[in-house]
Amino acid sequence: MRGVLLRRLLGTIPLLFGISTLVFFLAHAAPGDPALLFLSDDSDPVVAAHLRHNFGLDRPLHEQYFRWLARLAHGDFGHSFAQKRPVSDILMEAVPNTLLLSGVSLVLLFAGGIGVGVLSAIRKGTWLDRITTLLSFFFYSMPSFWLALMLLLLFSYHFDWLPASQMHSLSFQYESLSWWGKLGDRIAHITLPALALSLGTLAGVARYARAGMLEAMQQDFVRTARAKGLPERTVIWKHAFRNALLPMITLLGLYIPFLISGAVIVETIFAWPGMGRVAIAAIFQRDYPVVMATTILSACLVVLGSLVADVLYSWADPRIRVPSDSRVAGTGGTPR
Amino acid sequence: MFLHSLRRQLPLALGASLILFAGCGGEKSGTESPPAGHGAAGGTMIIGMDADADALSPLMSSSSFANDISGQIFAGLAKTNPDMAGYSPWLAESWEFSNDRKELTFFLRKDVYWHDGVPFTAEDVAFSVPLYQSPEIAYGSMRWLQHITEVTAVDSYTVRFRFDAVYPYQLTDANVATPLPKHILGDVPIAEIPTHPFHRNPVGTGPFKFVNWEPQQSIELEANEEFFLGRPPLDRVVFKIVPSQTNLVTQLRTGDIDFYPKLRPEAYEELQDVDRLRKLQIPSRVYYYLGWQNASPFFNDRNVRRALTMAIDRESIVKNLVKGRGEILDTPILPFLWAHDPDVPAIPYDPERAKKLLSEAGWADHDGDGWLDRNGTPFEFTMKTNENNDLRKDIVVVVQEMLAKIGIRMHPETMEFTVFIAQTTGKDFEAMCHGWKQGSKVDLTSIWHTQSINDRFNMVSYSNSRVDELMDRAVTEIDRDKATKLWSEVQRLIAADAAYTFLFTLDDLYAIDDRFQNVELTTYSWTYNMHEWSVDPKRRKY
Repeated sequence: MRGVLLRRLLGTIPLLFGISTLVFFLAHAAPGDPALLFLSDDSDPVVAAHLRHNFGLDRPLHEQYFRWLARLAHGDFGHSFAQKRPVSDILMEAVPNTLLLSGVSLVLLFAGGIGVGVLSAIRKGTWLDRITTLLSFFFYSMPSFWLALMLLLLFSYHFDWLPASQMHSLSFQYESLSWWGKLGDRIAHITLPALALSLGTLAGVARYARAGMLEAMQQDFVRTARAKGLPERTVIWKHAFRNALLPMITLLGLYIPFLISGAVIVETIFAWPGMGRVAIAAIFQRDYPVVMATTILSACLVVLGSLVADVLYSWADPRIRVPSDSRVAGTGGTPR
Repeated sequence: MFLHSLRRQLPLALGASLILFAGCGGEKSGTESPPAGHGAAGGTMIIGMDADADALSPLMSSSSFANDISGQIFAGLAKTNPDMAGYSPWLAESWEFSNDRKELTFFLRKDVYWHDGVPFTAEDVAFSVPLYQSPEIAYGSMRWLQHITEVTAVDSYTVRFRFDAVYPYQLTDANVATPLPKHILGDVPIAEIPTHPFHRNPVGTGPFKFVNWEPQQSIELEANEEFFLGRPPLDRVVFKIVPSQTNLVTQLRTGDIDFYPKLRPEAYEELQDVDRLRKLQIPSRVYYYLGWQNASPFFNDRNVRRALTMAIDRESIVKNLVKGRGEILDTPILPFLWAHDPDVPAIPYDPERAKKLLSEAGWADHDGDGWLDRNGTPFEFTMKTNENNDLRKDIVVVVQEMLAKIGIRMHPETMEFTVFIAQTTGKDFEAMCHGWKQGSKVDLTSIWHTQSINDRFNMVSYSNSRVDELMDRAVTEIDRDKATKLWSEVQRLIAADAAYTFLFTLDDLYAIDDRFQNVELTTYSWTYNMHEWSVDPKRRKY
């Protein structure tokens, strides 16, 4: 198992290298001169030349690339053109915020989605099933920006229950709150963005969970369990549910990267200070060091997401667990 | 609706430099003074911002919001008057030129302290100017300081600038270099200045002190108790960063944001029913135009360009696309500036005369297909503009229709902003829809001088030797009356040559909670008198 993991991790290195090289040259090939974007005034070509020199943009592209690579090897992402400070500082501020939002959304969407799915599978054909099915399709088909705006209008404006933006109240108010007050304040602020980010996918997960559960309940082993006279609860939770969970793990692997990259719109609408906003601003400002850093980071997270899914998979399904003496990755066998 | 005041008696010349302007927006002038009433000090104002600042020091910040904020933390030697035609004392109580006008001496106030308590002196000024001139720092307006050869602290409160040239904007240029604290940055090697933490944790001499900055969230300032004109009435100003316009408008409605300085027209419209908000419309420094590539065989004839302008119904554009929030413009110098000539003859909307002029130039429908042609070449071209600016895209489409009516086929083409700038400054276009933001100097040379054709901003390749000669004189003319006459003639010639079809100036739209008093918004800057803003004490929220 450890050997497989190690090999998977090593395998990502050429992948990340390829991605970063491609993005580096693509970003630099796109038209637009960062130096000109920072000159707000009756700009002098001399000043622009100085700026380009300061940014290192006056060197040949391949030289810029190798310098960037050499610095990256030392863990140095360079300095942001726009913010004139180390890119690592910017990432250290933004990444935890993004992880917090996507973490909460992930828990919400799997706990909620599986709960709703299983419930409607057990109650198949009842009004509860029909309503959840209807709602699932409703939320699933709704674009996240529209959902975000509707949540905003409904809960911030119309009912005025929840704050419309930021991660917490403005610091002059926030700092005077008690520890519990601060916690409550943060929960209130994360509610809308986390809902906007998770509701659509939650609905999707619910559909998968329902289908998986229905399928599992028709399997022979469930019939056997029932025939043995086991209580219905044991049959559902212990036998059917566990097997229905397997496809959920595949979904997890698919959604982790989406939650990280897909948060851009939600971050923008709710003024959440995350990585998506940093990345977008950097692209428009041609802030190459930041563009590169955010790209590499997202690529890492995507790779990590699929790795986590694989590990969970082999943990959950003994049939694909790799024998410790085997050196072959066990990807065969489709779990049912 | 246009409330700007023009005070012409002020002593010094200003220039209008020009800034490539990206979206729709920018600061403007026009003033609005609610009933003055000196409420007791106290209260907080929450101001919405749609993007984070890049840095908060005048040396390093380049975004316009960041400059608005750093302008509250830092103070300059003199304060630009709202009409941009003169200056009022600020850190300097007074100033005087030597007889040969090559030396400018500032006499500083003696009661000014940096926010950390250290006295502000002439040494700070003498230390700061070379930073703004340093190529290693590459300050955006570095060129403005090119004629300053030396800055000396004569004594603690007297500082002398030496110039190698005499020209009308010497005070303007000396004033560009907002003083920075020598006691903080004095020992920092110049190569480390651009990335020094000071730019994100600034210490200034302005009316408000920096408190904290949470990236992408908020920037908080508090009243400077020691401010040299007295403590500002507001306790605190918080800039709340909310990138979504919809969210900003929602929070203006709910009262979570008190003021937003850059409303889009549709948001402004939407807020009309909120009585608690004062809605203000103030002429901006931005104007829109259509640029015709004078080097192109279609547009190298002045009469053809005039005909195109006659074919475009600017009144209908302002009425329908700008919803009246703008004013038709006929000259490259905006109405709020001293050098503006209000009597420049306008080219009227007259499609019939346009057709006549075109046929005199050889453009007629010779082949009977309904479109104009000359020697077998149809009058057909592309007009470029940028994405992310719906107004410009709408204009191009409307203009396409208007030109079709006189038999000219135009194809709109939109592209990303940076690409658009690269192509237009590279003269890679036949026609374009673009905008300029008027800077603080009246100086048209970078756009209209023949010598600027090889530079970036004379994008349309305009060349008129008489205009060149007049401008060369005007930019060095110290006497304001003489300069005004020269600029007036320049404007008439440029307008008549129709290298641009000037469209309109756009208004800036503001909404502010009406519990705030003494708020004066100007074309020059909406932060102009923030140190005097106050809250009605009976309606204070926080």
